[in-house]
Amino acid sequence: MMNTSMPVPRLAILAGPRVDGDLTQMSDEDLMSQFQAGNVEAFDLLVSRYKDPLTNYIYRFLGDMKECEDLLQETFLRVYRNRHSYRRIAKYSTWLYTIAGNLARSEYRKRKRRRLYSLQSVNRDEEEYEVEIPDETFSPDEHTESTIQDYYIQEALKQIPEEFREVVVLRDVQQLAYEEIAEITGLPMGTVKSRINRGRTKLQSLLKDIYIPQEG
Amino acid sequence: MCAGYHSDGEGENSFTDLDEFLCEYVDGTMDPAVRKAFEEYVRSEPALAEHVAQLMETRRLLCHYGHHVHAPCGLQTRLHQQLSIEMLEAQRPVLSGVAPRLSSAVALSSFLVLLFLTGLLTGPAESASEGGAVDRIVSYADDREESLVSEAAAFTDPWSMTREQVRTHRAPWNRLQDRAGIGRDTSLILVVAGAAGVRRTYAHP
Repeated sequence: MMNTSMPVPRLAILAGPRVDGDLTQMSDEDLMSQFQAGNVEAFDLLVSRYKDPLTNYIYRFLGDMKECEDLLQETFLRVYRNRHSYRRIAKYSTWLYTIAGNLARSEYRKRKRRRLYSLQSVNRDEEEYEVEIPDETFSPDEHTESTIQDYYIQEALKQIPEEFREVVVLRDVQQLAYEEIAEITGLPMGTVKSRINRGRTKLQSLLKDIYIPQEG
Repeated sequence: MCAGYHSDGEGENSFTDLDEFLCEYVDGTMDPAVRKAFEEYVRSEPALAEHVAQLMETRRLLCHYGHHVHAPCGLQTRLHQQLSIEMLEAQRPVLSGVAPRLSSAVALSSFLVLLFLTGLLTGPAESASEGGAVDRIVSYADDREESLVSEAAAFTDPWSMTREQVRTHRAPWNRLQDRAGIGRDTSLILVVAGAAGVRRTYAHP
């Protein structure tokens, strides 16, 4: 359940009423109901279920692990704080990804503004432009094939526009349904499908270096 | 499948009008009847067939390698710690609104009581030698109560007295008035007595 050897503090103020039954067998929505009734173990379980998928979503979207960690924590804190605003008519995962997506988009735009501002301040012509600063720390020789693939995928994702990247990550990395993606992003279903295809098309040329041709 | 990735430099192609179809086809979510018709169309267009194959490979890469990142260690520990802090902070405003006022009131009351007690304890003991304002009044009144009362009684009609009589009787009358004034205002007694006591304490530790 936990990835760490550090003990989780079980504070009395966080402890809620215990509920009979196996929480691990419950659906996300049932767990959320338990959590709304005061069972904090249900919240812990929801965190366990979604911490990795959400990490992938935020990281693939932002491309920065430190920011990803901060946003991941903030997402779950918002789930905790706003637990009573969740209604069972929505899927828990959709609600969760909507929170994370809003945070990630907001952070991405803030970062973009900061970058433009900092470049503007050093550019004599006051001309706005973006420059991707290469990651000098990555050394493919020291990594396994999957790490290399992972690195190139991330670099490719960083190079496609935000509106395409988000839907491609939600669809291909998170494996969400079109309906869920439409709800999370607030886009019509047709736009979602169109952006997914255009995002994949843009990724084609960027990922051609790691494509292994199949013989015969 | 395809011989390799191929597209123009920008990764764009001429199939943008098929975006939704291509998305559904590559994902395998297309309605079977539509899929059959679309497959026939793709077979008739080699460029499109190659493009579809590349899209499928791109999707495979993303699906296979895109979710290899794991959540940071200790996430739940940090969440619990942060939530504990927030809960404690949420409780603080209730106390923070009351506590400062309460503590101020307690401090003021304590100070006044301390002043009073100090004055009460140190005042009488030192009154004989020090002769503080209040103590002087009290001791004077005690010593000369009878004479003060009689002098005051004699002063009931100042207009009938001579200038000399007024000058003679003014001091005891004023003192008697002071004494009576203290009796009328208890808080004044506390403050004056306390202040006198503290003044003596600090002046003669």
